[in-house]
Amino acid sequence: MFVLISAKALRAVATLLLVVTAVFFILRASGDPTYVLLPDDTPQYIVDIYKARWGIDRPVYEQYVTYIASLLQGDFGVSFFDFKPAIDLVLERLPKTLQLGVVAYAGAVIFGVTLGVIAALNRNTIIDRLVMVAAVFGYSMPNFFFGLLLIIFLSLQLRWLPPSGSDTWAHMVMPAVTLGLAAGAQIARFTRSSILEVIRQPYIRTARAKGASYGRRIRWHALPNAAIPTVTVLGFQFGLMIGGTVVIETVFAWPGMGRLFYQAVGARDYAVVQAIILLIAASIILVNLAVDLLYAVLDPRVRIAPEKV
Amino acid sequence: MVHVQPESSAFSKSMAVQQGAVIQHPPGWRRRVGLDRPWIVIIAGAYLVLVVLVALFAPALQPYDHAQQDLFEIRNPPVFMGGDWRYILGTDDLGRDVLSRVIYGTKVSVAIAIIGTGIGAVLGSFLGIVAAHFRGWADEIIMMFVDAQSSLPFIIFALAVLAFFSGNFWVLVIVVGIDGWERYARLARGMALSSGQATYIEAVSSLGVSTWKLYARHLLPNILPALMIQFTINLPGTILLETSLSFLGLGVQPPMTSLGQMLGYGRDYLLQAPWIAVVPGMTIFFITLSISILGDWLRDHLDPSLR
Repeated sequence: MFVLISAKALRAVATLLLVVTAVFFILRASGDPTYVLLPDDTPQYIVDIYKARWGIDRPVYEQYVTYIASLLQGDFGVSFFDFKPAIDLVLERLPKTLQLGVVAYAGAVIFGVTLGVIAALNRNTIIDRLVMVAAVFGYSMPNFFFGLLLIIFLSLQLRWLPPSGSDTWAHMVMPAVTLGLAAGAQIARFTRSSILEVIRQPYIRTARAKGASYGRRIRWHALPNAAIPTVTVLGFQFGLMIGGTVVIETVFAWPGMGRLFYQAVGARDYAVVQAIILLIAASIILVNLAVDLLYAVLDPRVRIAPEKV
Repeated sequence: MVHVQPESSAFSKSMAVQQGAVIQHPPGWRRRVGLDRPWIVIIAGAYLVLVVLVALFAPALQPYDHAQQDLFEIRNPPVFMGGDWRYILGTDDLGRDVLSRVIYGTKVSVAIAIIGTGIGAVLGSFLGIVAAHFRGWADEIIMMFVDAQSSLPFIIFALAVLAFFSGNFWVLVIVVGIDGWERYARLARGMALSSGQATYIEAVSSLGVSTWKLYARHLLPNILPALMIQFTINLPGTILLETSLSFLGLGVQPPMTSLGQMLGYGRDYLLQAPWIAVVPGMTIFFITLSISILGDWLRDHLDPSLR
């Protein structure tokens, strides 16, 4: 078990380094940032001072070594615009994104799993059909368009909810629903199909033959087994949802990390862009690691198998 | 290992027919598959055919030029909102015909999606086969990149690259192409590894055929159907990626337009002229919805155990 975890952790660190390196070099390959950062008629000597000030006059590999070395000391660089440490800017915005993300993710998991179970247990009835039609709509709907439709109907026509901002809980309803919709729909579909697969297994028939009641068969025999594949999807959806925050926070003017990222790429703010990418990649790698471990907790075969073979 | 039939276009159909012939279906089968879904499947299929035709014949179908402005005709509502028939889907804030723009935008979005998915498919399959052929460190390095790609939501990476390269069209196409390459790489690698043991590969290589010829003439035709299926699975995601990027203003740049770019533009007129955003939005939604409906239906046919 320990060997398994440390091997996975080592691989995670290597993956993270690869992401950071690739992003560093691709962003540097896009050309001289001073063209965008300074007005066209800036005198050359000011451009030179500026470049020396930010260290972008040195060769790229040297910049890279410096960057990695300071990363290891917890220094993520300084924003071109605010002159504040990039990590402070990101951490300032992070709570808002977490707030939105946790609500949307929890909603997606609770609704998705519940509806998936209900649909599976009522297979081929009108309930199943309705849930599945809703799910197809949910994950085919582009999130940015769904957000705009909500704004048109709930904010502009009915005037029930505010279209942008983040001051009260009412501000959170539309962004959270928009962000969670596709994930919830996918989770519902996946839960349904994994339950349908499980209740066909011989051990469910055995349980029935032993005289276990319907409720007991579902609760103690079907659901724990169906949970195993579903957990993988939960990890996968987490990553998609983080990508979604950039779009959703821009649509609803939600002052979180996603919107900061959108502003930072527009302004070519290297340090902030890289800090956010690093943070996101690290959190996704961590979640995937957690999913792997959860897998081992849920499924004794994963824990025991390596020693037996 | 599933044995994949070489006839690519008829693959899914022949599978479905074969299974229909072999398995004795219960009495409700024909009703369930034959009458339960077909109208919606037919509508979805017809819509996709329409989209492809529109994309192919876009210039001939546009009533007006997509960039032609007419400041006397700004924000004309579409016919279903009380407008007149000169501008069936209304006009936008610069008096441009929304129908013409949707037709042109569909062409651009579909073209980028197909070229982009194609780039990803070729690149991914090639690297997957390379990984399977050389094994060892080449395999390790390629799989590291596959892992790295799945540890970052692709839209984050795409936004950064496009913003730093200032909305260059071909950079956009390449970025859209890079999305999803790792899925082809995984698939091609897996299939190349398992068919390395297949008897026909062994037979051909013992005849002294060159490595290139072995892969191009013998392995590729065998794994092509599965790659084609992956291609259709990826297509809606690719369309959504391009439209999201264009919506955020970092994809297709004016005067060119795409469905996503129109939606992003229409966002500023939601109150006064909601159709500017709703028309391209519904067009995108119906495309992804149709592909999902067709995909689900196909999968149900290929794998009856899921029903």
